[in-house]
Amino acid sequence: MDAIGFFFDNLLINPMLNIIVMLYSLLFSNFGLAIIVFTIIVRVVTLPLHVRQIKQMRAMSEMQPRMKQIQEIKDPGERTRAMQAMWREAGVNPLGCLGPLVIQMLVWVALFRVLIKSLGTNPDDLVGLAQRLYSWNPFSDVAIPLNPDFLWLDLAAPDPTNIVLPVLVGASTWLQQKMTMTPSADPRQAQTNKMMLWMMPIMLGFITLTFPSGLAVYWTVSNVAGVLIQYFITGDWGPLFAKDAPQAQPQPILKAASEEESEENESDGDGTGGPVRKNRRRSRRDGPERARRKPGRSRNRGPKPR
Amino acid sequence: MTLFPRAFFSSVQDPCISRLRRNRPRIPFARPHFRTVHLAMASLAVLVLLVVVGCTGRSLITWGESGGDGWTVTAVDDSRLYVVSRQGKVFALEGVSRDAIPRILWTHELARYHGAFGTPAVGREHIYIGDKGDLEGQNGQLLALLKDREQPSGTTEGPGLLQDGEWSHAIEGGIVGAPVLAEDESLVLVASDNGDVYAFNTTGGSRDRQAWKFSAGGQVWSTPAVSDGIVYVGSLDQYLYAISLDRELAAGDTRLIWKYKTDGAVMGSPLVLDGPSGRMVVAGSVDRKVYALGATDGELMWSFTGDDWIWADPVADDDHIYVASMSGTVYALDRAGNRVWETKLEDGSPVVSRPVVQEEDVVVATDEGKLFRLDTGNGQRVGGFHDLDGRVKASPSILGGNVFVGVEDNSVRGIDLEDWREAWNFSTKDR
Repeated sequence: MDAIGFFFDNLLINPMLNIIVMLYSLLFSNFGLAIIVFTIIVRVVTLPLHVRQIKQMRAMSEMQPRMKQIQEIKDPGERTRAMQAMWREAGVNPLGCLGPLVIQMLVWVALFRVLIKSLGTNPDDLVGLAQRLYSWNPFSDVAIPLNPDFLWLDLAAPDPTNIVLPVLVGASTWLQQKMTMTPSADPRQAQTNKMMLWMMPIMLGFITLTFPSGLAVYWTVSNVAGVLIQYFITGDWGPLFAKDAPQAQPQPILKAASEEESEENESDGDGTGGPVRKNRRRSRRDGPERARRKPGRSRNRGPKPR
Repeated sequence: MTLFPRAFFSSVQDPCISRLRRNRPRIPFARPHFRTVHLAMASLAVLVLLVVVGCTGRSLITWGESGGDGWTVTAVDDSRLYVVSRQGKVFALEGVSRDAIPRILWTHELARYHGAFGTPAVGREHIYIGDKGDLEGQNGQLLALLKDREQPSGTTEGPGLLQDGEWSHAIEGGIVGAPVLAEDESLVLVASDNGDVYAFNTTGGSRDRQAWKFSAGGQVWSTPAVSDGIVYVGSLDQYLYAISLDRELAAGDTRLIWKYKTDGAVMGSPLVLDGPSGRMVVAGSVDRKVYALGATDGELMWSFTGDDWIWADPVADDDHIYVASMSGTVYALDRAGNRVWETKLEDGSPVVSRPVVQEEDVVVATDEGKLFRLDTGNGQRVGGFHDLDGRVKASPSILGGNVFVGVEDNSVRGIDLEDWREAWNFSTKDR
């Protein structure tokens, strides 16, 4: 834990704190502007990662038809090998998209600490701040104490309106995710994407209700910057305004799934409410997995007939 | 619209499927869609973990690491030691001489989460405590308790009741600096965290309690200093203010006599003393400088630049002015602002508490909890340092040959100045 604390303090929080204090001094003693400019700097610094992420996303999109073919391979081992070979050939690492996310989260957590430590209102906080500011930082002396006011916000406290920033954070996160969403031919993958598309904005919106509004400013600006960067790199809005949405590819499958769902919800006529075609999804499975499944044990079955 | 993949939940819930999974040959990452689901869930878990860590961090920072409850502050009169604990309990103690066993005369509870940052002012009959208010700096108050009050019988929840002859006055924003008595104890001065300097009559009813109020341009954490009818106070708006103490000021007359702009916040209390060319006010600033200004006109006489922020109040004896920096350097200056000596304390920790001068020694407590004794003549350390096992931010008090230091571990230590050993200890915890 000491190592984690050391890492956070010396490699993240303290440098970030000093940069923000410097920006604060340069930007008319406005902490909100300092956070906005800092966010843009972080986005610019992580631009190579972002570009790589976009390229990988594009490559993944292009691989969808081939991926669909691979998914039809019966042997799971062979399927995995084929999948890995395909990724290797295309130079795609499916985990690569996590890089920018992890960096963003680290910055977010560190910024949380920075806000708490720099915008504190009692002498203890200021003593702690003094120990974190580099003595050679020429801006530290004149900037203290830092003014936390920005627009209608106290950046060290949650948004007093309880609505504006949560909605901004939620909406901008949704936009950002929608633009970076990788289309998938796999219906489950598509479902997961769909879930994430809504879960993250809702969760972050709720978090914004209780966390310092400076974090919400960071998150919103970061998302908007992400969307704009992606637009300027790719030249289009991606899946955001696309007429043939990325879901277009897996649509038949999704449609089939929804049809199946509606069929499942229909009564089978015996009054039990059981599914009419309970093994329909299972029937798309092949190989040893199917062999081990017994009839009536499909994961997609409805209420068990008694 | 289905937000959750039904397949995921059904696979978790169905024991038969789970059993089948267990029996299946394990091929890592055999099914890319499951891996994606797991990755998504792992990302969510990491996010939640970070949020929880963030929440805990905030809580720890606010209440544990940085205190938040105030400091352990001490004040003395002829034979008693008064302590305000971090938990907001006031103790009056007897038996504070060397190796004596402390005896509690009375206690008084402030409200929950309340406490004090500044040293209480001890008058002839009352002790005046500046309550910092709660965490948000609200509901602070100036409290006047009788020195010879009766110990309340029984145990009560919440703040203690005031007795006959005691009073309190709500101070918006709370109090960080210490109260100060003036005009033969007929006035008590205190500054608030939202930038107001108040003068209260110590006698009379609550209706006539407030004599006057002056609003500075920023938060005031400095303890006011009073000399020749002028109140000097520093503000976080980087100004040092000189304001009239006159309680009969005519309507329309400004209370402000002069103000001087430094290049940093003025945290500590100014020191008023005679200089080579008249009365002067000496104050440290976050801009690393010590300023000496004319007491009546606010003209700059000299300034001295240290190696870091100057937060602790400057103190003086007949020969020198002693100033400590936030890098743990102690300077001795002559009254013309020339450096006589400087000593870098070993731990290099910030000095927030005011040093105390006792005969040939200047005693300095650092934020890391080390207590040093330096020779006033040359700055050399006298004896070893005391490790107090806790942070020290409040100013020490001297009584009967002991220096009493309030430590953040909820204790007060008495160090014998003669043989420089810890001769007395009092814990405020669980009392």
